[in-house]
Amino acid sequence: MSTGHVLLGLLVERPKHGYELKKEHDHRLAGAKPLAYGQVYATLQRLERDGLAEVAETQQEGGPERTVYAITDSGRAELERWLNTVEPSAPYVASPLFARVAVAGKAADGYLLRQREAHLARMRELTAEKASGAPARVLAADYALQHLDADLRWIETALARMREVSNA
Amino acid sequence: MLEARGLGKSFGRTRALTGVSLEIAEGEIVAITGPSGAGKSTLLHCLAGVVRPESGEVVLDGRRIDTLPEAELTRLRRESFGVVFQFGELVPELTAVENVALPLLFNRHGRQEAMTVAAEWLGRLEVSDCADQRTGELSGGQRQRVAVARALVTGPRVVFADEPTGALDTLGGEQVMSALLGAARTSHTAVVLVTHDNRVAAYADREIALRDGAVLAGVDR
Repeated sequence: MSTGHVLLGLLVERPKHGYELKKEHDHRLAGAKPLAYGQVYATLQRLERDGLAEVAETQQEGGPERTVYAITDSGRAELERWLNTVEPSAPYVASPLFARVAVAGKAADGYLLRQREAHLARMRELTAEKASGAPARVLAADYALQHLDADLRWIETALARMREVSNA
Repeated sequence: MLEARGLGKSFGRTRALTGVSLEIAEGEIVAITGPSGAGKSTLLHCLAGVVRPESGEVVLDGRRIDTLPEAELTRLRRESFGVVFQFGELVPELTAVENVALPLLFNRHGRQEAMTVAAEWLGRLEVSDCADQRTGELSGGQRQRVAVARALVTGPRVVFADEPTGALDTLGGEQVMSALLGAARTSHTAVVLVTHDNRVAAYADREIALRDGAVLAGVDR
């Protein structure tokens, strides 16, 4: 996912300045890592350079100067293209969890049990968050929970396969 | 509050439980997890006084229950335990409210009082609309909420739930879990959940993981 596309998505409604974009990003992508200010401004400059966004106005009301950005027509086209692009479906297995097991083999079972506990503890936190969360947060928690669950099921299968091999 | 000490149980030559010990505090929500054949249901049945272990003890509030005479054990189960199964196991000939009133009638409450209390519980679980429907006409999620009401209506010490969301989709399961645990927490009822679904186990305060009839070391804390 590119931060540029997400910012373009937030600019579709109306022009916004960097601080506003950061706040909306963190709210709508609840559960994602909060965006750093530096990254917001660097991304906006890149979008401007590529003709996907442009400076709509510069505000100065007592406080520091604020640059308001607007999406351009080619920005809208790029956003539309991105929104409809299917992600490559897991072309590689790139998980530190898998890598440890691939390297350690049967010796990974102790690690797997500890990882299993850590995952389940995080699932408890996410489940509790969901009970009182705003819709964006619930959606993010669902996503995280189902991915952790997939890991846990893989851990269980991996442990069973190791037992099979050692019993053979 | 509820304790198991060194439980052992076999079915024929199959060893279902080996030396299982655990303790469940008042109002605590515990998930018993593990793959098929790990002994989850056998452990639940031993704790709930449905199956007698061959070795070890089950103790409720300081009193050993696995050696009680059948009649006394049956009464204790009716008064102190509630049960929710995977498919509700409601009586199809009765309406929802009659199903919920049933445990109260078994415990010798008057019919009028039993029906009033049952209707209150259906309200708490947001299935008042279904009160006068036969349970065969209800959706899976409604049926499970009626089953939760029936399990809690007597004010038990412990509710045992065996794969309570096993027959429901994700959102339906979520509603049943919230209803069950919300009601249990309000009334300080302990819940022992048996599940192979990690997402259901994540509702619990704590996990007891079983493998091959024994508690997985290092996980029960």
